[in-house]
Amino acid sequence: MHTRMIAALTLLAATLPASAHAAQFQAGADIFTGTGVAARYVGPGGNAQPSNRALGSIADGGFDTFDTFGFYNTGTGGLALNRQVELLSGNTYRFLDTFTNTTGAAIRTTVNFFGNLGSDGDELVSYAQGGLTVSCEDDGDGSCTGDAVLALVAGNNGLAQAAITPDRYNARFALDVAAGQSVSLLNFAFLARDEAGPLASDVAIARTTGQALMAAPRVDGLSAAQIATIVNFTVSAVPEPASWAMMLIGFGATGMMLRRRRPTRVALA
Amino acid sequence: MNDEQGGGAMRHVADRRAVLRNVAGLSILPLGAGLLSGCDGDGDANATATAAADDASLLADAKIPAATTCFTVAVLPDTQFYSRYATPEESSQFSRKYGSEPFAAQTQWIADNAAAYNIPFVIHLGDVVDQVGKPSQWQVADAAMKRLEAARIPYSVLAGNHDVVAAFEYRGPWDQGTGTDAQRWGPNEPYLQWFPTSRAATQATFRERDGSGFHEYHVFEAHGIRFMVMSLSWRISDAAIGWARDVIRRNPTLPVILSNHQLLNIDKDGISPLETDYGKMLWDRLIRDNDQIFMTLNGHHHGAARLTKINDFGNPVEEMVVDYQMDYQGGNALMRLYEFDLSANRIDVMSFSPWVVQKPKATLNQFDRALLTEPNEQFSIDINFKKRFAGFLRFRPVWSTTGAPILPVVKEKLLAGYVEPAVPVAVPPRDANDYPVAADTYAHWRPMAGKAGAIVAVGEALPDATGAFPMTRVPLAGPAQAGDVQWSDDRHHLSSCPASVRFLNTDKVTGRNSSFSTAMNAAVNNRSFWDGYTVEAFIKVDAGWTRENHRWGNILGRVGNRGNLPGFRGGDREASSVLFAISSLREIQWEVVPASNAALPQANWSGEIMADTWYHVAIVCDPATRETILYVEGAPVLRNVTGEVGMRSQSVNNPWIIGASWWNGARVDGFFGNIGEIRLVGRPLKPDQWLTARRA
Repeated sequence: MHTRMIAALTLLAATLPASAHAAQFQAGADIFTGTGVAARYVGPGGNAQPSNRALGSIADGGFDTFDTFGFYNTGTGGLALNRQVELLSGNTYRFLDTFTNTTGAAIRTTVNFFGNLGSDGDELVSYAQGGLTVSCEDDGDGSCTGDAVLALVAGNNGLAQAAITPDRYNARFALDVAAGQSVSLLNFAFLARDEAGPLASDVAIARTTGQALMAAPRVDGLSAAQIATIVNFTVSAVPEPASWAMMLIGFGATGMMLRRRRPTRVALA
Repeated sequence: MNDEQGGGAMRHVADRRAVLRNVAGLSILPLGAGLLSGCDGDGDANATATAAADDASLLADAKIPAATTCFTVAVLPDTQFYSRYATPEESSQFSRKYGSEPFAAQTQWIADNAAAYNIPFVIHLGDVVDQVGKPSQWQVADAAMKRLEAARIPYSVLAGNHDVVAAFEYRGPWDQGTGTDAQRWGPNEPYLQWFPTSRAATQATFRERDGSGFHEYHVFEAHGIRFMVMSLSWRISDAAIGWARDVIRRNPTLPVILSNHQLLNIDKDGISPLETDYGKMLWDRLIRDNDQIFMTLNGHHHGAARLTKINDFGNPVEEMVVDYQMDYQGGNALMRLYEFDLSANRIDVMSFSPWVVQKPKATLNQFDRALLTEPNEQFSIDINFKKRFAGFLRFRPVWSTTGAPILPVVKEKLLAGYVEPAVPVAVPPRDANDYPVAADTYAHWRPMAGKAGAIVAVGEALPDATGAFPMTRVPLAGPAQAGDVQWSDDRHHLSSCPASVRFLNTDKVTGRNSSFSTAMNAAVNNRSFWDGYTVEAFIKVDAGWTRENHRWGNILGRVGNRGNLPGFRGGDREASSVLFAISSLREIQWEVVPASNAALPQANWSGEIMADTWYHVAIVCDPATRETILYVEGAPVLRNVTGEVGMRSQSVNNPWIIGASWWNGARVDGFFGNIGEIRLVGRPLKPDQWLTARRA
């Protein structure tokens, strides 16, 4: 197994000129809509044919961070799926997936939110607790390289069982859906990367942002009815949009502070 | 090329991220340095290498060999007509005309070049023979494949629909109880006698066959990477699917090339991929959740296309179909090489014929092509092998320190000293009359445009462009209904006539058919074509065609029993003197009673044509050579007839028929599908005078 659970961050000497690190990269509007890619997809789940590409999946995300991410690769167990996938501000992809039981009987099933990470099998996981996983691509020497650092958030109430093996993200959810009922799963993928390459600061940003999403999932733009169907987050943790605006400012400040430090490569031992 | 040398050299993949790293100026040395090598050394690669070289520290790492790490897999699509028409029963057509045979030319070329071009494995896509019950065809195939065995070049083979005794098409998920390997009786299957497990086991790469003996798998190695070839015969059973899944499960780290006879089809435009129900079944039950399967190859459907699908792991699966059997000479020995360039993260595909370049120069014509360069025949697939295999394999090839791309060398050597005949470019019509008008046109029936979907009323005219001999729809007979014939705007892309006539609901079992005829006393009824002829038709067999209900459906015929012709001594005396039909095997049949000698009919046959596909058919009888040649889509098919001239008429009161035939006083064997324009010309025409050409 090539994924390594990392306990601590070690800062290494910088190899890049400081001027190369100007800002965070901008994640791409790479959400597959059935006919192309965009910053948002709202519509049914399933796959476009003949390519079989999953509707609402992210093709790349920028810097090859994904190789198709964010779809249910083992089906939906007879539940109808509608998706609202969008790239929010701050390099955060949000997946709101609403499963509806259109049959006349209760359905108990497990769905698998899947993503192929673009690390070629070389994945470093620096944090994995509850529903938060922070990982990056291993450069072969235990440092992040290439792809953006990821904070993958699958929920905060224990419903999600998430893992990366070896570079495939799987978040399993056991669902019990009554006849006629709809439930929703909320997933996030946050990407942090300096334009010149992933730094130790990006790992820190990813972890901080991921923990913030765990504590207070971003639901800006979602209706109260949509929010009410979410089953993998505790409802009390949902902040008001205004609160999120303040938090984003906070993340930005953190990032700026980290960028002002001497640029580093990060090694995870 | 010896790519195995220097196996210990350090090397990293020149993937997209490596490019980005270099653009960003990152000093991650081995990855960036990988850009220094490449397969083709083109401008982009040089530019990138130059950019990388700007980083002095990058160049300081001298462990990166500037060599290409690659190998080539040879693929033999349907060889059925090579096997068939090399036999004495079919007049040994190849050796008689060319002094050599295409199947043997293919395998001998591989045997001669496997070492030079680093070919570790050969894949045969099935339809080894055309007629399963003809041992002589198996003998041809046997001899050809023995050339590989003698050279100790391993290969996989599989049975196509022509290689099994009962070739039932797949009709849906419910159809797994009939026509699969599970319903065959092994001792009765010639494929298992000619290519038994014991023979497969002589291949160094062979690992196992399933219980039926029809499916097998191999493992070959190249540059330290082991690949599996899963070779599945026509109509796999549920049990065999289970076997295939188990094989992959037992070999969890091997990338898998899946070879089949049928999987992907080609759409009407001849380029775009078209999924088949059988292919979808294989996708759902075998491919999509086995990440190891990264490419599929199949034949069966005539032409070439490819499709990239995304599997359950978000990874691409490259599906490719190729089959040249409907090309000149049953395929003209066209075959493929797939070069796996591990350095450049690319699979390059080359389609070529090793036989064409061996043919006597005097025999070459416009249909002889040594190299196919169309986008669906010569292309590259970007595949980052490390990334693609990451889910199941640590990709660590033995990088080569010497070596260069293979296909450019193959191309150069293949074409050395060879001058390819010019190939006319097909030009779509500019308007509804964009065709060469031919002198001696006796009739040219052109369906009416602007009436698509409308019923052709009984008595309604099918116009003749000469104005002389229009046809009309004949009165309903038997179970036929008025709605059984409609005008359509569907047409062949090279026909300038923007319409066709669609024959629906035809049924041989119930005798339901509809047709058109010329008038009694029409002078064209009495033409015998003493100076030869060119008969052209555009046709499309309906997608719902079945052998039971639609075999022997006729495009064109003549009223009257052929037995009434003076001196006729042949069989089926009640049949028409012109049988232009689709056979029970979906071949085109052109059988006429010649004018120069009416004793016996003479017949041309095509290979199998596909349903739901437009074809241009031309039959050209040249009195100078006394040869009658059947052309399908411009390519002369194999069974040419030499001997007699013309088509003997009976009388001016024996009309021509479109859409059905004649049997002893009744119209029978209706056509099922679309018929476009049909032209009768009283002399041989060259291709640039056909309806597929454009007016001057």
